[in-house]
Amino acid sequence: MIRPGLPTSAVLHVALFAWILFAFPQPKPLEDAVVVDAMPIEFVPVAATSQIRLGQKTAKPKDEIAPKDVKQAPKETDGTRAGTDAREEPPPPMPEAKPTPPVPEAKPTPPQKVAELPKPPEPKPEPPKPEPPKPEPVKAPEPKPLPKPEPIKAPEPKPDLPKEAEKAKDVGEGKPPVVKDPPKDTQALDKLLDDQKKADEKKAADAKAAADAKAAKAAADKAAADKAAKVAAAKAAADKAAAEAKAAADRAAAQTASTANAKPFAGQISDVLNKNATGSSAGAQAKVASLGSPTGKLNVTHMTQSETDALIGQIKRCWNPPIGAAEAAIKVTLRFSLNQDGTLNGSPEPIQTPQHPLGVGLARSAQRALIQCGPYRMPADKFAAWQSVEATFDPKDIF
Amino acid sequence: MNPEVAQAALAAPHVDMTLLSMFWSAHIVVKLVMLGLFSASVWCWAIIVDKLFLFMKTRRQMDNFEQVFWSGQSLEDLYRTLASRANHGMPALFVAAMREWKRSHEGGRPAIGSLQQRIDKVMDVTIGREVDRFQSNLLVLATIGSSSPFIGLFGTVWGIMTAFQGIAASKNTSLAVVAPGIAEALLATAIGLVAAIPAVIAYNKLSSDAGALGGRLETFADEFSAILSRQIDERQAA
Repeated sequence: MIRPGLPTSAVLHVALFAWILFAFPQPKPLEDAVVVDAMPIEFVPVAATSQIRLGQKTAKPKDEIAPKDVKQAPKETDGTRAGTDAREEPPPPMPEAKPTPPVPEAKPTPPQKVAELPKPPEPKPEPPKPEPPKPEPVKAPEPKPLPKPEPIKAPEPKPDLPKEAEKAKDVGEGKPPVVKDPPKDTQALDKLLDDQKKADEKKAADAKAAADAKAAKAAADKAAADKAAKVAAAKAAADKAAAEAKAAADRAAAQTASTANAKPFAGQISDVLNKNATGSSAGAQAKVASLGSPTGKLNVTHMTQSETDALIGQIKRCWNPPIGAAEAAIKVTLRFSLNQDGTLNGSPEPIQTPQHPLGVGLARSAQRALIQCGPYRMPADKFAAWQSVEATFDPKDIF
Repeated sequence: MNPEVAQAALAAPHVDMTLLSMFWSAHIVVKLVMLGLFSASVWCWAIIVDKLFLFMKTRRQMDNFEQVFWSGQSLEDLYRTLASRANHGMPALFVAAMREWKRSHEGGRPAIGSLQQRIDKVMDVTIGREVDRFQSNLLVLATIGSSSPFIGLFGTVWGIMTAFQGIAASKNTSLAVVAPGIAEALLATAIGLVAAIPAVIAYNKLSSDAGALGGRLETFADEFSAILSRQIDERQAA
């Protein structure tokens, strides 16, 4: 009676099994569908700010730290430690310092790059910078008074930048000096890389020959940029900074003009990243290196550093990490989303709670901070950029 | 209980999540559950296929037999052709009744008195046997259909249990650590449902088919019984 049934069923199941084995549609990673491209913010950049603030309250850390670092900063003008030293320095000179480093990077780019870069640079309210000669001629037609090509902000022409800058100022020292530089460098380099990839097709010919030479040059270039940044940050006169930047820019321009190749640039970038990641004792650099959109789909670059810092400053005001968390060397990353009006959308959710007795407390404290400090003042027109945020709370940086 | 489970849970995130790898990384209890459910599915489909063929064949056979039976052909001839072979369904019913009729007329004194009751009994027995044949194994379908979701659920609960033990062992609550174990565990329920859903549907359809065929046999038995009863009465009167 079971005569036809059992073989049929067996064959059917074997076929099903084979289908599962060989042709079963693999579950796709959910990243595309679910993972929101969160704007990553790190709390490191505010370290200087918070130190300053703490210094006003207790006066201790500042005395300890500030002089030492200030001393170091001028000494080490060689640029190797630019990130660490400069971070401690007071913010005021920063605005100048910020624009300078990218300039050298952006400028050297050959014509193709110029074609891309026309994205309106944000007119920075910094007075000392008014030298328009730096930017590429292409930009001249644009009405911007300060055509400093800042790779980070490049994509969007912000007419309301001044406002944001003010906002940042309001928020409190939202602009830590040097820490901004590294991200910018990396992003500028990213941009360069993109550009170079495009250029690569055209100039594939002169690839390998110049590689070594370029690596060396790249290091020099970077050092120059860092130096420029540091000098500027170190309260050097604005003129000086500009001069430095110009010099660096010239150098870089010469180098890149000589050879434009994707591979060397990649090497350059990785150099920078490595240096950023490993070259400093503080966690700041490592984190800065990680700045960037995880999926790269959304332009994090839409947020200017000062805007990001403004958000950081707003959050940080309310953050009171559990005692002992700083010593425990733990940090927590929270993901949250914001509404258009800057209020918190839903509750912040820790991406991974550190495995530490204080881990949960730390995550809670970060959640509390996020909830208490809302609504946040953010540039409304960049809502897409700060709609979803990934914030890393490192208690080490607040003290 | 399981360093290995914890290991597996930790190692799992980078593993490709094919169904097969999920099966292999599952706990042994979950594996047994999955294998049992898989074989239950095989069995259940075997029964379904059998029954479908059987019912199809029986229905065709009944159609043919009824056609012949009501065509006016001599029942003696029909009996002679059918008696020699093994019959199922309606022919079996007919042959059983005719055999009883024949036997009652064989001796010198025909035993016609309670022949009607005997024929009815014989046909009842035959109908019962045929309906049993129709319905055999249908209860297996019902059992698989109703119990395999629970069995799968058991596998899932067990798998999730071990997954949580792995979490406890690794002290890591990241979703990436939990997910593979839970996915494995859920596979058990999926297989249970894969086995149960066809079983339930097929049980409902096949049992109603079996009922319809049984009813058809009953109808034929009544009709044939009426014919034979008329014959008996005529002979008694004669």
